[in-house]
Amino acid sequence: MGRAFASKDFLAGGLYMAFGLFGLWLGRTLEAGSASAMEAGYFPRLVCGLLIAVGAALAAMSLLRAGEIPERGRWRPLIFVTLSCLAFALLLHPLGLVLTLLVSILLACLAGGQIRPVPFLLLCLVLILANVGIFVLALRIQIALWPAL
Amino acid sequence: MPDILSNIAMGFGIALTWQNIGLCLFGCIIGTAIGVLPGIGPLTTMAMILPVTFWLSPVGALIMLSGVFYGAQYGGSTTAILVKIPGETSSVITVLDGHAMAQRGRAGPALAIAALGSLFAGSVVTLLIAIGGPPLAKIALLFQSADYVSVMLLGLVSAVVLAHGSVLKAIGMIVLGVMLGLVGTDVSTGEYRLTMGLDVLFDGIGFVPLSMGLFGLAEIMVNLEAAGGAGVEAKTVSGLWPTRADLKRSFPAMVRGTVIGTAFGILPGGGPTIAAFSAYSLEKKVSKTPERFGKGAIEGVAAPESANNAAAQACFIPMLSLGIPPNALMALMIGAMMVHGITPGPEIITKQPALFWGLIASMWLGNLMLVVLNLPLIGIWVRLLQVPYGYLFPTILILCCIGTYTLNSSTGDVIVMTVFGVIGYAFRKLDCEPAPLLLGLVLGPMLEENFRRAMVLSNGDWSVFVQRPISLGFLLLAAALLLAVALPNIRRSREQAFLE
Repeated sequence: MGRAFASKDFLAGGLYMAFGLFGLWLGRTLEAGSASAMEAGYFPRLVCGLLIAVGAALAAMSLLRAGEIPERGRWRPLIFVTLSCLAFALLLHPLGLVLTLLVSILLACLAGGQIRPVPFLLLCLVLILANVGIFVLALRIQIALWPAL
Repeated sequence: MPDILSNIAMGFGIALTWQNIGLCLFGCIIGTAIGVLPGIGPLTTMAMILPVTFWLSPVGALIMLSGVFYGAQYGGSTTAILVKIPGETSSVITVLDGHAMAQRGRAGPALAIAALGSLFAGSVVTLLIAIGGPPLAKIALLFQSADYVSVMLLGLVSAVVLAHGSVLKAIGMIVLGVMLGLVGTDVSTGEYRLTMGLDVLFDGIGFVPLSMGLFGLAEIMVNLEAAGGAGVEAKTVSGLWPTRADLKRSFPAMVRGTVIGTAFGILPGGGPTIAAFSAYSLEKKVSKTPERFGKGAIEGVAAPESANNAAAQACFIPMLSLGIPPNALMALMIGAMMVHGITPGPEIITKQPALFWGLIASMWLGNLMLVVLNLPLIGIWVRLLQVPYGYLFPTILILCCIGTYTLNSSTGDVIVMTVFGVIGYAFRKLDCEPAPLLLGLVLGPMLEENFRRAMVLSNGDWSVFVQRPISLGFLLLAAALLLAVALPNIRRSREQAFLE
């Protein structure tokens, strides 16, 4: 029985239902109106309801037969890739592009495992030069390169 | 007939001036170069280039923009094939077989067929627009909101039919996509919906951050996990050119793709994405060996690439004749026209013939240039594959971040992308195919708008969708498709097709 609740289909159904319920909850204050005069909340409720129904059907049907269990993941890539992107988002404005890229590349490489210093520094150099060249110098996108002092 | 010939001749007369050839070439090169960068598709590229066009003549501006459009679209397909990141929704489907081909060392033929398919479709559609454009625009005028709703449902259903694995899961992904498409400001009432009060979400969840998260980041996480940290092996590439067998397989697929693409391109609300999806599922249906699809079937590259190009070109018809942009790219084109004081609408073909026909001729020219430019360069794009993954994945990751950021100069978008990276990882673990979600995201807002309008017009009567013959036709087609998937014996063969 424990296995049935851990199958891919059951979990996916649960995920759909969770998204649907979350959507309903977020849109709880929106007016629905009627079919002939729809307000902002009509269509979202319809869609969320449908999502919950699909999720429930998927979960229910998954219990009828033994489904596949998801493979165990490894935390390292998931965590470091996420951290690398978050670092980019959070550090870009205070630190400027160059230092942010350094931190993000370091975190990204940690997701892959061991870091060898020479290839790592070469990669940083190439990526920073290329990104500054393409985005800041050629496309003239307004990004600060260094921290504002 | 002489009318058409003289119109085409006039078009080429305009497109073939040195200045316009130069602009077209420049657009194609810039478009491809930027489009090849993972995560930066045609939309971003065109948005970045738009300010430059303000200095040009209206025809020149549109010619350059369409050059960027085709170049970037081709560049987007290149990244779809090589690194599994679709530059645009319309190349999502190319990922399936294109990337599979690349993994088997056949990236060269895949890229070549994508370019040749696009050229073929482009040439055919240019001719078709010239002959049938004006009368077809009249048919599209007959469409009402209810019909739009039904044609979009048909598109979504065909996405379900083609998705891997469980039908229910695919339906769930589409509905989830539609729901995510609702996030942001409600067009009719101006209310914020489902935004959690976050200002990054007030304008909706962007297509770029979402697709880069779901495809780019999730892909990196899964690859790193599978290879135990070392990453996927660099693939060896043998043979850049398609073989005779490849061409023989691809040609009928290109023809079918072109027909489907044209049909879907003319329907507003259709556009390249649905066209590519439908062409792919049709190709799989008619194939004698459907089990090859998803594992590197060349038809699976030829058909959708021809279809999305045919549709991309054909969707200029509703844009120029009705002023309705069928997709975000056309909306951008309309923006460019408005800047030059041209209002898209029925009078463009008659009042601005030079603009209309010049643009049509330049599309063909742009496609030709892409083939000439890109076939020799395929070797360079392919070399991207031989970079060890340890260097490639940080590069892709950084480009995803910076590409998302530059779109709106918003670090909030980068966070949205990160969140969808994690969600995309969960989807992978649960075998949920993310491509249908993207289609739902794009069609969601259009679906709601037309659904609302249809219900207002019918005074809340749901039967409007079956009372209008056009709408009923699309719905019956959608129902037939769904039924076909649900029937046990067809279902079994479908499951076999997805096995392995």
